[in-house]
This record gives sequence, structure tokens and C-alpha cells, in this order.
Amino acid sequence: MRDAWEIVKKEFVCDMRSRTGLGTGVLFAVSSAVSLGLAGSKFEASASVIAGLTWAAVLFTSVVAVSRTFIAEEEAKTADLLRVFGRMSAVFWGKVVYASAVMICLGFLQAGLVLVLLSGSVADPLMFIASLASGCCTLAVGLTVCSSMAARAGGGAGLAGVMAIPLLLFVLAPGIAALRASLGDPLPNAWASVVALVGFGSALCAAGPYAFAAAWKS
Amino acid sequence: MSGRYVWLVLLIVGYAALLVTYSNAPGALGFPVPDLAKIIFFHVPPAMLCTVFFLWAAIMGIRYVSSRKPYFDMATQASVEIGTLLCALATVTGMMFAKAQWGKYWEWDPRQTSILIQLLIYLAYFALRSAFTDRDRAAKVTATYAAFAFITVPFLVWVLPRVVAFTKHEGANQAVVGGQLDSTYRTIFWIATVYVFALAVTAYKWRIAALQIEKTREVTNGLASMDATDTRVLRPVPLHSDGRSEEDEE
Amino acid sequence: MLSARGLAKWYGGARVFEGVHFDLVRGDILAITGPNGSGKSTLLRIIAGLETQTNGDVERSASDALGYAGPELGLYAHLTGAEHVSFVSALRSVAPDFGVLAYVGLSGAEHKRIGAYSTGMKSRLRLALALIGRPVLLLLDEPGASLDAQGRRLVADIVREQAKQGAVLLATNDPEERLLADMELRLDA
Repeated sequence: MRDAWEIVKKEFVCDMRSRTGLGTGVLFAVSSAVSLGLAGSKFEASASVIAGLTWAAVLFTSVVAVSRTFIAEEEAKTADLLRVFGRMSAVFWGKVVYASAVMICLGFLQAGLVLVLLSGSVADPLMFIASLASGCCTLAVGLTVCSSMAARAGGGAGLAGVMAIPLLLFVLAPGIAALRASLGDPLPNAWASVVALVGFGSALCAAGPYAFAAAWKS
Repeated sequence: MSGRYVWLVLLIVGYAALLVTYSNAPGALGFPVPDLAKIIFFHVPPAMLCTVFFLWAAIMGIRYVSSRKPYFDMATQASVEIGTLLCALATVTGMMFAKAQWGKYWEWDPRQTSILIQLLIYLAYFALRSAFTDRDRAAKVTATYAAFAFITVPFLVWVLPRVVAFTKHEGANQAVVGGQLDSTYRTIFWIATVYVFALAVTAYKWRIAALQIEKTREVTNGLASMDATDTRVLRPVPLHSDGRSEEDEE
Repeated sequence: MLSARGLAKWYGGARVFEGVHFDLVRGDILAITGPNGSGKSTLLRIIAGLETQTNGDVERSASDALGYAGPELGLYAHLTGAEHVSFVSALRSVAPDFGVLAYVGLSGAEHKRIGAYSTGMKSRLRLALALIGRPVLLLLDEPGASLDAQGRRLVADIVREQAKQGAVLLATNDPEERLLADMELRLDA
């Protein structure tokens, strides 16, 4: 596990010094939240509208912030350094943990801004946190796997996005349902949506290492 | 005319005959507009069978990754191609079905949504495949994608309708699966399904044959461009301290 | 220690090499030579696990650590030399030994970011990283290509020292580097 943690630390240090991944993600999250706020400034947005806009924005932010994780490594040929010296599982889980942490930060930042700008309020904080956190982690896992495949193809973040967005569109349905419920929309079985999110994320986590291994060693 | 063409003509003529025969059948119960329900012969079989082909693509993809036998890569590619074609057919006919039954081409019904998402997921397979320059790597990564992408299918088919609170497919599902169709209608429906399956399997086998010809041509061209020393075995030779190797001495 | 059996690499319909066989045991130094495009680097990358062969097998004991240094091995522009040593040591699960940086002639440059390194300094750092964890098998791809005379002597030292504890596979076109080897595999043969 120590080597996976080293990957997380390396990602953080490189990100902080280059200000590309996280910095770009923060700027995108803020500017997209502001555009949503501007678009909705002339009407009172319902909980379902806020939830839908928030998740659509979080999905696109995840593509901007996370999809380059392996593409940048392949472009700089540092992926070879990881292949020669690192364990494959450590590389995968290190990347997933860092991507999840980034997405949780960006997801909450973006959701908070959309809520403020569209005058929404949280009625069930626990469900708000659970749905956003589980959804963001699921997006991070899916994008990490897609990024590893797109990187092997020599494709850019665009290709990773084309692959990841349809694969992760499922997240929107339970994500929006749970977020609506957390904003006060009375929905029956809203926690079932959180369970669906966790289930989907778990399935991606279970299959992700195998898919990553096949792409990484190709 | 070779046997395979006779087989295809029989399939197409048979399917057309079935549809013509049934054009005068009474409307199906369980649908808002029973008279316009016959599109299920075009719509439901592709919708069901595309998932079968995607499952087959996942199985073939896993077999390719574990064995690296080119046949399994071709099978994965052919399955995704046929599955995507069926998925596109199901999406388009589904829109026509929705317009006829519910008055709108698109309703964001969970079944409509899930088939559209499946279509996008498998279209990305082609984007990924075309991005590679190294064909061995393309085969391995796209086989992996075909297997990985199938994880979403159970969630789209079974979980999504339960998360999204409404579905307009309820009546149609009950009519088709719940046995509310009259027996003639049901018989024709299942025969049509078998026909579409046979057509799709025929197309799948033809596609694999075409891919095999392509592969053979590529290898033959490669070999033809090489000189006559192709089969030589390369082994190290001892090197003397003055830089001469045993090969030089010979 | 390392066996290659019938290794072949094709890119699409184009053959790079075919029928490569060799066995390496402790103390062996094998030079892989051949003109540009003959597949020297590709062969090393296949053995390092960075590429897959089209045909053939590579047998290597999983417990034998492998070191690799090649001109295409990327380095993190925003990390320093010392941070690279620390990172690779952690990946290898060994305690970092920063003395390796002095050994390859990078004293005084440990805390500079790689973005400020010259091509020769990067080559030296790659050599240092390849030595971390005392690998049994060392793969060097054109190790002296961008090094000065002192750097080339360093490469010779590294190769000779490595032969005492394991084996070396050296892809080179340099006549002096070729002389370090006791066996030669010509890919243009």
C-alpha cells in the first residue's frame, strides 16, 4: 500500500507545482457554476432543476479534471517509468484515490456554488454528502480506466471523454434522484439511489483493475 | 449462387412474408394504440438481441485478452458492430413506436434512455479502435473496453428503471413478456425474433470471414515485402576483446 | 536468469525482427547491435515489459529485479532528482539511497527540478534510477548517447560492476560500448 500512497503524493506534488490538473478543474468548476447561475438567474429553479444542472456540470468537470491523468503520463513518457519501477495495482489505486479526492473537492465546490447562485438549500445534509461523494468517486474510477485506455491509443482527453461520458451517464439518474431528495423533493426510496450509485461504483472498482491491467500491459 | 446467399435470401424473404402475412392481424392488446403496435416485430427483437451481442462481445473480449488469438479480436469487433447496428435499429424504431403510441418521438422513458446510452457506449468502441496505430495494441485495448463496457448493461437495463420513478413501457412490457398478446401475435413475435437473430448471426459470421481475409492479406503483404532470410534464427555470438565477433571471423 | 525464445515484433504488416533467441546468466554482458530501425530499443522494451512481442516468449524470474534506462524513459519535469530517487525507491520498496546521485555525477543538482536538467543530466539520472534496488538484470538503451567522456566512463563502470551481481543487456551502436560486452546479437544479421 505504501507504493500506492507514494503515487498519490507524487500526483499531488506534480499537480500543485504544474497547476494543470487541479487548477484547471477548479477554474472549470467555478466558471461552469457561474454560467449555470447566470442562465437560471431569471427564474426560480426547482430542486429537480438544480440537481440536474449540478450533476451535468459535475460530469463535465470530471472529464476536464481527471481524464488527462494517464494521457499526460503517456505524453511525457513517464508512464514507462511507472511500468518499469511500479506495481500495476499500486499505480491504479494511487491514481484512483487521487482522482477521487480531486473529484470530491471539485464536486462539493461546484454543487455549493450552484446552490448559492440558484438559491437552493439542503434539506437532508447526510444524503447530500452521501450522493455527491459516492457519485464523484464513481466518476473518478470510470474516468481513470477510460483515461488509461485512451492514453494507450495516443488519443487526447477528448477521446477519454467520448468513452467515459456514455459509460458514466448512468451515474446521473441515481445521482439526480438522490440530490433532489436531499434538496427537499419528496421522493420515495431516495436512499435506494445512493445504494445504486455505490453499487455501480463498486462494480467499476471490481472490474477496473482488470481492465486497467490489460490496457497498461498492452 | 452459393449456399450462404440462398440462406440469406431465404431469411429475408421469410421475414418479409411473415410481416406481410401479419399485416392484416388485429391490433395488440395492452398498447395505447393497438393498431399501431405491429412495429414491435421491428423494435423489440433488435432491442433484446443487441444486448446478447454485447454480452458475446464481452465474452470474446475476455477470451482475446487471455489468449491473444486473433480470432477472438475479430469476434469481438464483429459482435460490437452487429450489436451496435441492432441497437441503432432499436433506437430508431423505438422513436417511431413512441410517436405512434405516446405521441412524442422522445419521452426520456428509462428503456428509451438506456438503449440510447448503450448505443453511445458502443459507438465509443469505434472511436477508440480508430485512434490506434499499433493494431496489436488496438486489439487488446478495445477487447478490454468491450468487456468493461458491459458492466453498465445490467445497471441500465435493471437498475435505471427502478431509480427513475416512471416508465411508459409498463403496458408494452406486460403485453410482450407478461403474455397479454394473443397467441397468433405471440407466435409471430417469437418467429420474428428468431429470424432477426438468424440474420444477425449470418451477418456476424460474414463479418468475421471478411476480417479474416483482411488479416491474411495484411500478413501476406508483409511477408512478401521481406527478403529471403526471413526464417533465420538470430542468436548472440561471442565477442573478442578486439571487437571482432565469431561471425566476422567466418 | 533471462531467456528469449523466438521473439518477433511486427507493426501491422511490417516486420521489425524475428526469431530472436538468447539466454543470459549471471556475469553475461550482451550487446544488441544493428542499424537504426532494426529494433534494438524495441527488443529492450519488450524485455522490460514496456511493449508486447508479436510472437515468442520471454522467461524471467519474477523475483529478479530489473533496471532499465533508455532515452525515451520520461522523467517528471516538476520533481527534483532527489524526489525521483525517493519516489522510485518507494515504488521498489527499498530505503532511498541518495548517494546514487553522487555516483552518477549529479552532486549539487539533487534539488533542481528536472525541467532545469540538461539532456546529459537526465541520462545520468535515468542511470541512477535504474540502479535503485540493486537490479539483477540491467537493460541499457544507448546509455552513452548524450554523455560526455566522463559519463561514458561512468557507463563502463556501471556495466562492469553490474556484471558482478547480475547481467547486462546493452543496446548500442557505439563501438566503445560494444567492446564492454562479451556477446553480440546483431539484429541486421
